[in-house]
Amino acid sequence: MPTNVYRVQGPEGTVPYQQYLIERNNNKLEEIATSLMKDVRCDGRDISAHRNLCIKTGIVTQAKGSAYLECGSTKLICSVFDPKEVPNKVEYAKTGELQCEFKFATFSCRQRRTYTRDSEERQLCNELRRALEPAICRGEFANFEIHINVLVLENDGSVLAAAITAAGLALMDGCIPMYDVIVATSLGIYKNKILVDPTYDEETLCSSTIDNGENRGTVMLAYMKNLQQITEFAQNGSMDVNMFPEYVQILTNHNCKLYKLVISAARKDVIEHFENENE
Amino acid sequence: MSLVSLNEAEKVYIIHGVEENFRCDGRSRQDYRPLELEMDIVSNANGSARLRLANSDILVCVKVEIDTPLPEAPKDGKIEYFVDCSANATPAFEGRGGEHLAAELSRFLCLAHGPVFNLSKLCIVPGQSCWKLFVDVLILECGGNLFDAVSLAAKAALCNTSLPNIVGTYEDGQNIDLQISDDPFDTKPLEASDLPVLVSLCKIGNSYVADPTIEEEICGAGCIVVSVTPKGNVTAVLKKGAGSFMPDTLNEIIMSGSHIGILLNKALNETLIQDMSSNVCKQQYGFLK
Amino acid sequence: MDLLSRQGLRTDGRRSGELRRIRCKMGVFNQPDGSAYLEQGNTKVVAAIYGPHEIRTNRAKAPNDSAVINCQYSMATFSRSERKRRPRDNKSAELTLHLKQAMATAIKTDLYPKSQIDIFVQVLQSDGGNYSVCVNAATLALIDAGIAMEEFVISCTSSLANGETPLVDISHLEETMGGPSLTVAILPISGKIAMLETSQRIHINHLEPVLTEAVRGCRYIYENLNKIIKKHYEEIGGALNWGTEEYNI
Repeated sequence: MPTNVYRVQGPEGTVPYQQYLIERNNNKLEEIATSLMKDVRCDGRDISAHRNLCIKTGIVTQAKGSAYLECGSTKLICSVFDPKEVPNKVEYAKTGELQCEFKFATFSCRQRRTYTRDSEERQLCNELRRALEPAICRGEFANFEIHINVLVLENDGSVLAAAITAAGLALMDGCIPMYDVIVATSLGIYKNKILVDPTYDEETLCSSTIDNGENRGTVMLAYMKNLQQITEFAQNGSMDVNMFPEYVQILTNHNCKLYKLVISAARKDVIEHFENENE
Repeated sequence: MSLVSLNEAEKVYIIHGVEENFRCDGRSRQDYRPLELEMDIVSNANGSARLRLANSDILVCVKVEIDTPLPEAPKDGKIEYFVDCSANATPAFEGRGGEHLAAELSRFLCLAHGPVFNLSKLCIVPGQSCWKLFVDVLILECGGNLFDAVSLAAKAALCNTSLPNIVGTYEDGQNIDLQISDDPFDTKPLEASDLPVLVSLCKIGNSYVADPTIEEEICGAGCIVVSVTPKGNVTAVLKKGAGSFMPDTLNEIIMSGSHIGILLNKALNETLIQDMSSNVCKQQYGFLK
Repeated sequence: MDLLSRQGLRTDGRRSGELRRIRCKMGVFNQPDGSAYLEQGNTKVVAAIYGPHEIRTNRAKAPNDSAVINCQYSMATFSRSERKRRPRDNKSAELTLHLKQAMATAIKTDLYPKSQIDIFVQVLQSDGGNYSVCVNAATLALIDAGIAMEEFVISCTSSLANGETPLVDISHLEETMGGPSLTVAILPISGKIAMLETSQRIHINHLEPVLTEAVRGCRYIYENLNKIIKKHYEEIGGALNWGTEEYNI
């Protein structure tokens, strides 16, 4: 992905039309909030239901491994490249390195995003790297690095969780040795209601700053099921510390469900692969 | 991050020490190293604090400017965090070496303060002008546990900040001219005592330690940073390092992080109150002590 | 506003040949091999020395028979009354070079072959003469690190008021609204000049008085710092009984 600052960012002095819709957006958020109080979500889901997933591996032919993941309207592509020697490396590294890139496509969000990386993308990239590091057998690639690129095509909430799941699939597709399958889910908490896999609007609602002591915010957890290890945990908002065990429990349960899905998708890929070879 | 390197025997020594609840510097697992805090040491800034946590030396200054609010949030002020990992701290930070850590620190500080800091109190004229706070963090020496030290210093500096009073406004068509009081003592303090502090807990062997030194950070499998408000609420959690955690361990770490955070917040607030009450003829030490 | 009132007083109340208050502390940090904090009036600087250690940067270009001196000059974003966007920019890159040049004249680099000495200075608060204070702080830190030097490197600034009177150790206000300002770094014992720079053109007739005034300022700073250093080492040595019968046994 080019990071050129001089690229034309759109005409100067223009105002995104969303600014004229602030009121409408706020009304919409309020609507969501009131219906949430009756345990009804804007897309008709149950409060503890994950959105439907669409998984497809091996879609980027140039990459060693790749995966496309759709979670509701959140769509993203992840591609993984062969281990390469680290360029200009002075010291010998015993464990391999991960080079992650997390990019929102310019058209993926409500407001147009720029080509250059901003601090949110940098943070998501760090979180992605930290989530994957414990899952990959890095000892196998001493002094080598693996490139993992994530491109978000449409952002409708829970991007990081979707990206980690997709990256886990892409790594599997790329035959990179791993300790376990890695999956991630996120939660939104609004007025003590726990929403699994929040959409973009629900995320905005959960991270709004109303200071009345009620729990709100988002929690994301990446999990390796067989090893029972949490590889990444990110939380934001304001929450009572005693609620954490419950959140972690819900997230691990959902991750176990996701794990089955991912495994079945991977199994299907392997079977297809051998069938194609037999022909 | 730093240039400390340990051999296997040293690592084993530290890990066994932690297992026995007796660390290299004589602390138990939950203890902090001595903290020193001094306020008001940079006269150019609206608020400043210098914090020494054993060998970590942090200087935080808050500067205030007038800006126009963002169109999507016309009633809110702005706050910006900037961290400079200076080469003074460790030669590894020279050139662009410290940028990665600096970006992570400033972003996490922003996330941790975000849910608690009420930006609407920085508003002057809705939609026209607001205060913009620049929280500039300078790391002068790096002796481990930077996250905790930076958050404590940042909170102290923000509590030390005072905004100049606005004496009057002139309306000139669309533009509004603000007249700000010239008197440096005609200010109102910024209310920031409910901001969270960060507590890092580093997992070493089967247990975890608070306030890890550089050596312990190297030995540790991973580190959880919890941002805790004075009431004990958690506003952000970050995992550092390449390790992973069992769900039960994670819960336990967050629980004890919140417990330590409450105590740390209390200690800081007491120090701040003491500092403010002894305002008359306060001896300035700065770096000369 | 005049730089020099009719009574011969400057904007901050000093006389034309008067320097600002000097306060310093050696060994402020523990992790660097040497460190110092120096304050001249409202200009406050910390310096840290790492080394001599094995060469880390540009190993291929390093000379075989002498040490590499590596400097970094940075200015805290909050150091001036107006906030700076970045701590290091083109201006600080230039000052880094000047600092390296001045310090290299005094350090006995041939004693440390195949090694590197890092000099990092950080301006915490700036009120004129930043570069000079940095040079002085770096000298103190080098002494604290125990690195062999020919002698001190001491720097001072001076300017010209009303086109005739030289002013020594100028403040930020005098720097911005005054005439040409001259920065000089000297080796005070041998009297050699290590670095000389003027901010703008200066008439040849004025150069000599301004330079003499700056050099006089340097010598004054040298005497002061020398006293402080001696006192510092007497304190350290006092604890170890340096120079007494007990120590010799």
